[in-house]
Amino acid sequence: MALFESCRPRGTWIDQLDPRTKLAWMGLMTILALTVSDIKILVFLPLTVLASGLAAGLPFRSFKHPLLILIFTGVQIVILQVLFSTEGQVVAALGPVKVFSGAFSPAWEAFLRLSAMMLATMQFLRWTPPEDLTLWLVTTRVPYRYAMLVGLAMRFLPLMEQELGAIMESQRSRGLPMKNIRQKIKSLIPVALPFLYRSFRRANETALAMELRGFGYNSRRTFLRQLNITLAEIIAIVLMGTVATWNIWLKIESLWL
Amino acid sequence: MEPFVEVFLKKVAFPGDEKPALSGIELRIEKGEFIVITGPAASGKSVLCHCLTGAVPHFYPAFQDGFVRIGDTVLSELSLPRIAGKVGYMMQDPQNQLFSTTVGEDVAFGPGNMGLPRREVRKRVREALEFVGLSGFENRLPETLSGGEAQRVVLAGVFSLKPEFLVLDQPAAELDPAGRKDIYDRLGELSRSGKSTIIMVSERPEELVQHANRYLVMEEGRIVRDSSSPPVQGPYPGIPAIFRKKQTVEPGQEAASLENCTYTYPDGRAGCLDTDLRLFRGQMVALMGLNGSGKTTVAKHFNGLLRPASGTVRVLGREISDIDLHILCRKVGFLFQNPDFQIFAGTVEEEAAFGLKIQRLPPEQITDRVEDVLKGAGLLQMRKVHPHRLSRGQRQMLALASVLAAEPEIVIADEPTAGLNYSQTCQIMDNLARLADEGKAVLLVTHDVMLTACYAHRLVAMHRHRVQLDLPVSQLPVYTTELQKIGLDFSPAFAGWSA
Repeated sequence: MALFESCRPRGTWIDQLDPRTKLAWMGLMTILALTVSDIKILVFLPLTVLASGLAAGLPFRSFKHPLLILIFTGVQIVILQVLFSTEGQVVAALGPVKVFSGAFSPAWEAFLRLSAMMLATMQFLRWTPPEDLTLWLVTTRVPYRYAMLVGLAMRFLPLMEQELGAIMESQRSRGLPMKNIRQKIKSLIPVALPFLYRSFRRANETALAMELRGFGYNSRRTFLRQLNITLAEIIAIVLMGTVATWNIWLKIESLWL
Repeated sequence: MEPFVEVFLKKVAFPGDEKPALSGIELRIEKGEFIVITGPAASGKSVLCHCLTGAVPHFYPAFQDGFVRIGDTVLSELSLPRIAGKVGYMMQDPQNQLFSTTVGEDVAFGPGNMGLPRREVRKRVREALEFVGLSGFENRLPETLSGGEAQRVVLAGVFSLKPEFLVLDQPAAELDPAGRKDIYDRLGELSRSGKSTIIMVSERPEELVQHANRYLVMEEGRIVRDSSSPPVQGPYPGIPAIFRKKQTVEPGQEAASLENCTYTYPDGRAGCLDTDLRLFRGQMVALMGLNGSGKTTVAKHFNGLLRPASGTVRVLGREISDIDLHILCRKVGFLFQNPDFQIFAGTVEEEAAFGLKIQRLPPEQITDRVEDVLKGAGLLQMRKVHPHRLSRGQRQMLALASVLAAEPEIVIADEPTAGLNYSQTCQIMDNLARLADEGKAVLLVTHDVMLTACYAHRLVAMHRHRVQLDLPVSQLPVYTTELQKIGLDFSPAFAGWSA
């Protein structure tokens, strides 16, 4: 699976939603991940994100890479906690390293918080078309020349990934080994230089083609679509905003006390 | 009466270049003309296109003594976005000219920038997609388009601005013959309808005789020929299939084979299905088929870039599952279509020596081999030059040289001549033919029927991911109907010779 997979219409209810609703959902999940202390609710958060993504038609494989990264990060968090935490009782000793019982709970909590935030962000990018983001940015009075950069980046990232694959294939065909980390580091220059050359060339050609199709002709432009937010979505955003604000307030209150 | 387009360029020179890129260009173009520009590498074709679209001097800073006038507009006096709508420019690589995440948005890009009402933008998108035969493609993602479809979407995007003057720089160089014909037919229709005046760079002017009315040949920055007939070039210096009464080369020992190989890409796309293909020493096999028929997938099995889900791949008598990829690559050289995917070294000789350094050969041996292959590629004089100072054809020769430096037993060339002109094509193909003569097995992946007819000993035709036909090239005239059914039309290759 490509790391930078474009958002594509799924033919489900999610395609009908306004990007602001999706943004509010991501914001709510992030705020809950940062403010909630109850471990049961924290477990529930990444699962909710996963379930809502699957219900919206996102294939499970689109979560594969983020989950792998999360597992890798989670293992690191556990190792760091085990090495440096001295809370609780000693449950094991490996030579000079003592493992305390209090190391696991914070590691688990940090992992869950990170999972919820990362999956929510990934979910937002996977189910929000870049042109919706552009339209939303334009409604917030960001000049369209900058707002359209989001779409442009989303358009070219998968293409650059494909090209990187082709360059790596080309160099492997010349006998360049790229199996282990050491070999991959050694292959950095033979891979990176053609990639940079191609990227600069692409940037140049794209910029020329855009200008020759009138990019920058006016200070305002017509977009093919318009954002239409429904009353139900506005109510949902208000509710999500209320829950988020309430949780922030509770967190601040608990910190003061 | 004043012509529709007037070009008077006494001199165009880029900073730091000793020689001017263009000199003494005088061109008068009437409305509705369809002009084809051809010429050797670095002859100034693309620079002329840049001048005709205002990219020079607005985007590429260059000294320009002269002017380009379209209608009442002198291009140097307007900024590029203001030129949009008057001139449409389509360059070679379509993927670099698609900026939006859906086809509909992309075609709407130009009219949207003009600030036209949304209803008008939608109408233009509909009309433009209809014109290029892609109605209903509005929601498709650009990266899911085939090469031909992407090219047509770019054309629709340019066309949606309704430009009166279209400049096209090799717009169909990487397409199969059917895809090229489709693009050319649509452009011809546009020109005949009087909606656009067209000027187009092509390395194959003979393919445009039905549509073009004028042919320009450029050399060293000048127009050296301006005629209503295409320049005569070719046929290639191989032995045309029509004159081969029997197999000219008896197949030697088997070098590699695929047996019942099936490959499916991770995203579910079929690569090849139940494919059998044998390569013999001393033989050049042309692997042909339409875009997406599975040619490159098959080729990549021979050097282990792809491993089949089922079936067996043997190279030099051993199953490749027993061989390490970097060892296998010493035996099987792979020349890719785009040399820029591999070039990274600071000089030509360093680039050619790269594979040998990986093998850790003694320095003297590396020097000798590099000298040999650069001599064969005609690049010995340029050994200290930076590879990106070379022309595209020369860079392809350098890529071939670096493949040959490893002295492989099998050479696979995937569309090695795409986008190259006649003489560059001959140079690459003569080298590949020599390798076959020396007893190596050569697999040529190509769309070019002329190359197959002139150079290959055997044709393997793929259709829908399967090998459909496998025959000696001497038998080609017998199978023209069968080949036509799978999109391979060899009649142009035979027409000239029969006459």
